[in-house]
Amino acid sequence: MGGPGTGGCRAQDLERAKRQSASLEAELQQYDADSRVVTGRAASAAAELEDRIASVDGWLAQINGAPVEPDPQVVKLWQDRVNLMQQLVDVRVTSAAYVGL
Amino acid sequence: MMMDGKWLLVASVLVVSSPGSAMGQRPPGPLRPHTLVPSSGPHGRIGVLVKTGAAPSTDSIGAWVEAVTPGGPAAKAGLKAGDIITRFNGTALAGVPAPEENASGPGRKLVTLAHGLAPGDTAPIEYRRGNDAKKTRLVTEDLSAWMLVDRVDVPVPGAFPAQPGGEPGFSFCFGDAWCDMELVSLTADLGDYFGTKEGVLVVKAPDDSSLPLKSGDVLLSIGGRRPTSPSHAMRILRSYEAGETVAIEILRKQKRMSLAWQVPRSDDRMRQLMRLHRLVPDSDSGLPRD
Repeated sequence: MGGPGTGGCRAQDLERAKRQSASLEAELQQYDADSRVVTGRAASAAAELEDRIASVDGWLAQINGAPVEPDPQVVKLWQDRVNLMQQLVDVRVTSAAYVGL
Repeated sequence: MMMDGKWLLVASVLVVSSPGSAMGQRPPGPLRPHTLVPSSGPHGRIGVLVKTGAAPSTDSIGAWVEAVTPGGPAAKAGLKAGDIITRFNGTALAGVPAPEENASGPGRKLVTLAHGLAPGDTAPIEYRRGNDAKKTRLVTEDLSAWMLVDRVDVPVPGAFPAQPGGEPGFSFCFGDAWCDMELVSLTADLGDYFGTKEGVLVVKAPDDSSLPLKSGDVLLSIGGRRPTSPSHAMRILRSYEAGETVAIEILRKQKRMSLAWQVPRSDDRMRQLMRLHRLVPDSDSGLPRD
């Protein structure tokens, strides 16, 4: 994933990251992690990633959007969010041992 | 396009901006603080990023949810990115006037309402998903238990080698005992069988005898806190320091029991890690000590 661009590129990057974030959220919810058997290692990894996403969300909550074009840091944070969400999907999807009863 | 939006993590902004909080350090680069007034005391967290900048296409309906924090209260309640919250805790959000130009009245109102909640409060929510009107309830959580990461530190994909079996290798799970266990959240059907509606089921017990759990045990509480999922259980455990003793309440064959487990000290963890990577034989009794 590239870094934040400039001007109109940033706006496109931001929108792309938001779409990817929403898509990954939907994938996670569809997966229904709560009904899956997981190892402690995978559960710990998921907890760590969830906490990091919560941290990114906390930083996003502190930034006011720019009136004309997106703040580069906002773009970067959304891209970080996508990165973490992708890793969380990977952990959830690849680490489940069985489907729950 | 939402280029002019302002984004707030509902009910978290107060804590992340509090002096001395775990989020007190800022990441590199200019961050402009939000405009809300911090207040003291604990706050419930609902775990959504809501648009507080003007959203002409949705402000007449409610507050637009841009993102939902995985594992958070809103995610557990079934909310998704793109939902529009029309009523929160009994208060309608549709058409709430904006307090200032370029602001979303419903978004700002939702932030205010969420800030009034304490951890553990239950809030009924009505929302729109496409053309469907839906209802749910969420239980707020204590933000301080979640915001433990003091900076944005995103691991590079693939930076952490997988363990045997393809599992992620970067997680910290207290050595073999907890790492190798298999766990699942207790569903209603499983709960009927095991005699409890809450807890986390141990599907496969650890081989490590330092943690005296058996397959079929249900983890009811860890240090007095009730785990709702395997990840939650690991998050609770992570709050303990090395050497501390953790009280674990379990249900075994429908009888309540209490166990005590001591969090391994760092040298013990290192030895376990080295065993995992076959750097020392399984029979190794320990690392040299000073």
